[in-house]
Amino acid sequence: MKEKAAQASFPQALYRIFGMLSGTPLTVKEGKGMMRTLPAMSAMIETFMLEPHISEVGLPFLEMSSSYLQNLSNAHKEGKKIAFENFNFPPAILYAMDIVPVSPEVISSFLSIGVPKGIFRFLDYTTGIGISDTMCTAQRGGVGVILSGLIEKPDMVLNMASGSCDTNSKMFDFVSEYLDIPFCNIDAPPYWDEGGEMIRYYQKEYRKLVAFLEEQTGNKLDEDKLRQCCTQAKKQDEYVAEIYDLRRAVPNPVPAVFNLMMFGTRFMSSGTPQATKVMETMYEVVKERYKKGQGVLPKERARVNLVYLSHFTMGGEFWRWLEHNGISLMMEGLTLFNHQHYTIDDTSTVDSMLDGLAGQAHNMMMTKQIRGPLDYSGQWFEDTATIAKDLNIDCAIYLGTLGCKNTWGGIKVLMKMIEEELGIPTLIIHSDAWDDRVTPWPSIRDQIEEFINTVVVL
Amino acid sequence: MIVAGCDVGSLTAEAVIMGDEEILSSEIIGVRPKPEQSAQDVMDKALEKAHLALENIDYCISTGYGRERIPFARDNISEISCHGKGAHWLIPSVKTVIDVGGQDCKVIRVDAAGKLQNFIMNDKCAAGTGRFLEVMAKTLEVRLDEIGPLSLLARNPVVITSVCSIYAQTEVAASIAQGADQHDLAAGITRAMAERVKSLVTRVGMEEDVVITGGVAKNTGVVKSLEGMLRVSTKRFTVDPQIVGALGAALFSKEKLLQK
Amino acid sequence: MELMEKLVELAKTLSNPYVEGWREKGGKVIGYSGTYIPEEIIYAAGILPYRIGGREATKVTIADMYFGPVICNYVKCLLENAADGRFDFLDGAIITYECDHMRRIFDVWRRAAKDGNARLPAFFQYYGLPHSRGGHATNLLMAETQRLIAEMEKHFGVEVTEEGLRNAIKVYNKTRKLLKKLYELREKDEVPVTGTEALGIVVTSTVMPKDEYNKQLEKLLDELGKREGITGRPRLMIVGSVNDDIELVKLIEDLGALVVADSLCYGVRGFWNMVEENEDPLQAIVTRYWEHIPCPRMYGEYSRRYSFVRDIARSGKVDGIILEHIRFCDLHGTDNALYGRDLEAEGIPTLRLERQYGPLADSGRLKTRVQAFLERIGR
Repeated sequence: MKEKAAQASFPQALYRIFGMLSGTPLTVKEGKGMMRTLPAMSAMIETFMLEPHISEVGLPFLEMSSSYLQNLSNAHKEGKKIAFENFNFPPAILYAMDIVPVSPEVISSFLSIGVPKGIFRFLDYTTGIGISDTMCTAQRGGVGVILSGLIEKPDMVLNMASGSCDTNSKMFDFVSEYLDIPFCNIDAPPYWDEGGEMIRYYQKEYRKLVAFLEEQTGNKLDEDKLRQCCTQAKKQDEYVAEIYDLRRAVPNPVPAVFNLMMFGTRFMSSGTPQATKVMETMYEVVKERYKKGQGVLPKERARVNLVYLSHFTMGGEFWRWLEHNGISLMMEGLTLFNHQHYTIDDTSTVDSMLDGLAGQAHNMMMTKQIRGPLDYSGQWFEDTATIAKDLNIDCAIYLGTLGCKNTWGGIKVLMKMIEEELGIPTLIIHSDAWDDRVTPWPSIRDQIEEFINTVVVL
Repeated sequence: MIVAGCDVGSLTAEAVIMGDEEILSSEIIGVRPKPEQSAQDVMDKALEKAHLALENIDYCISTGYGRERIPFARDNISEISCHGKGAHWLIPSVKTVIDVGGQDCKVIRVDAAGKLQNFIMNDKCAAGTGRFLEVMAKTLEVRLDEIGPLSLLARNPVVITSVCSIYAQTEVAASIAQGADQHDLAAGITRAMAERVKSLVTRVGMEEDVVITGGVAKNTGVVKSLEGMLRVSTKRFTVDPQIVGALGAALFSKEKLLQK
Repeated sequence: MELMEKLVELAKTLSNPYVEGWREKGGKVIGYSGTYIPEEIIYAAGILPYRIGGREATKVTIADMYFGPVICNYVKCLLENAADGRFDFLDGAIITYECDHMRRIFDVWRRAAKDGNARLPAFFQYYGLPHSRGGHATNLLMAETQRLIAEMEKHFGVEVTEEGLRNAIKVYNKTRKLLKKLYELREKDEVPVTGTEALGIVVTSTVMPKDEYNKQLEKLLDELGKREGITGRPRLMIVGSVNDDIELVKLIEDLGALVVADSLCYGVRGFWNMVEENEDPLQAIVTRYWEHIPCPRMYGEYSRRYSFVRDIARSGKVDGIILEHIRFCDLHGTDNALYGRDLEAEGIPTLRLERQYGPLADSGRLKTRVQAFLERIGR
């Protein structure tokens, strides 16, 4: 019954997703074309929809994704502004101000996961207009879609990659110049702390952001709306914290693809009731599995920390493969919210709420741990060590993108530190998380398999 | 007045000898180990065809990869300008020249007078060059010149996504193992090739008339695919497209001579 | 021109007789990674500030062990130089967050030293740079600068006084004024100095004591006043990624062009802005370095950079601009895409050149493109 319902609403959700991607209502011809490609969506259906415990979360997640695109499509009709912002920007503040977010990384991921070979022409589009092919595919796919006019043109650019990623920031710089729309930089300071000069600097940057948003919309920040969003964000954080603790179990009860859905939820819809629903459902499912001692199939043979990214292609086959090959995804970089280092507890005043949100943003993946030298406080090594201790990791694997200069500049040193100081084996794979043309998925999979078999499982 | 142009590339060398208004002879050879040897060889053959000797040549300009090493050339000019010049002489309405060679790919924009306006080159990567086709032909176990005709008979072109020749090879081999039709594969290959070239074209823009030159211009499949993607009908040369560079060099020689 | 040759020659190597002489007298040397590090504070400590460069590296094999495949060659060459002992004369080094490639050298150099593959200078510091403007940013930067000074004082047993800073400012402003004079000569119709020479002179300014350098440059400017100027060549400007290698400019000029202007960090962006001499010296120094003609690392400031480039191009009466970037340099690569669009729209021909730096430089490719560009601009 559930399965049938799943299969009935999924094509509809998907149809809406891709209808929105076109920006205009589909013609019969286009619709037929879309249906022809739907059989090729079988991978995605398999990943998100077929297994009941996955689809329980997968369905609301896909609906939320569909809303995300629908909001984008309707934004200007409803008199709302669209903000072009990065994946590591929790959008609660935007929802509080009735601004519609669009993240190129989210769009890239929709394409690379959901549409077979769908991201390629958009990657190529960007090089066609002169963007270097060394820029990160995470942005290039979505930027290609936006700059080719398939999605509503954004009204402003908000860069929260400042301080951790030049490439991402520079793409945002470019988009603002290319589309001639205002630019706001939200800079992570060169070091990280909790309650010190660094977070205070960031709080000022966050205030600057709010002032910018007020100017762009012509509206003042509404305290009540902000409170609503913060309350939701706080609830979502609570579920994140609970799920983090449940990961400690052996076997780890959190299915691999839940990681995608966890960070996808935060990136797209943090601060909304829809996101809270997804997180609540996720928590319930994980809790159930924990009680029943359920984990990866057939049984857990390796507990992996993906120090950075996973692999966003082929309908999410990456997560499905891990799940059915006994490899527990203990943590993947994008799900590392570092919830222990901030709180959105105090919703009494606008200031306390903005500080809470700033704290959340300050601790997001990429923002927090790759802004400074590897071994400095709160940086990449320390975070990895914390995960290793908390979640009992067997090994660390690096999957990245060729656009990532920061991590490629430090990963070999990081892995040496991990091997020496944490005593666990490591693997670096040369691949691109969004572009299978660089290294095909089967090659990546084989390398991981080999590593697990020969190095990890002794 | 008799002038000559000599184009020494990395795979082939060409020579063109011109009189006042017409091409007297031309020659194409595979390169020798040293550029000077290639130049001498191809020039000798062209001279022989025209029943001339080197002393009869009033001015010679060299171009191509080995252009600086040609002793009998008075001057050297980039292959980019030469291709533009040569193409324009052959088809005066031409504004965009797409040169797909054995090892590189260029798109050249010229103005109404055939003067170079803008250009872009890819000479680092096999994708979008003749090399890609060579590798694919081997994988398909057909001759290079069969790929074009085969592709034109395709019913269901295979989609090849790998941009890198190495991975494309694996992709094609896998398709063959799965029983993909040779025609469909050939079409997939020419299409992939065309896509790479198109990507270069978009970076520098295109204005009609468009002409495709270089060794790959002989591959009807790639030409048709590219025309479809760019939504343009390209012009055809009446001479072998491979000599266009040397022809341009000869034309520049003529200009130089007339300036004196 | 003996003095010219001498100054340009000094630019070809990393160490030189001035550095050696300085050390022989017991002087200390601190290397720094780029134009955002305030040299005056090092000078005021009685230490020789030395800009570390990538030239002289002939391979990047050690660097490849530590860096991933998409890292800029210039940074790799820097590390290779350290690995090959060419920076052994440094008593200290300060690395700053100019870009993602450069900042990781702070981690990599330490690790390479730990592995016994390179010598780490005894004083090794990271200088954190923000990316946003505003009071809080300058406060952060001031605190970071004060921290750096304190570390330096502690390690080297020196004191950086207000007096010392004022003096440093005078010396450095003099260098800046002299270099500006040099560049003014390049704006003339008859240019008495080639681009190759100019780059050599600028690079040399970063590797010898400024007091001595100022004397020599003054003399040189005097000589240049009497030198015959060059005309009749296409006038070019170079914009883009870091370059301390005069061979790159020589390659361009050997094809018949004359490089008369630039917007480079080993170039105009390094010396264009003065330090205010009538304010609190440390404040003035930090302000100048923070607000100097921005490198593309300062996001959202393209218009400011563009106006600068266009103005320099106009005063130099350039015929064309070469927009070069080192492969994987996204900061300059992205800016160049915009420059290309906007400069061409204003009728200034441009050539986009993606290149490798140093030992893996691909001169054949570069020559073809530059030659074609010169043919295009019809000169």
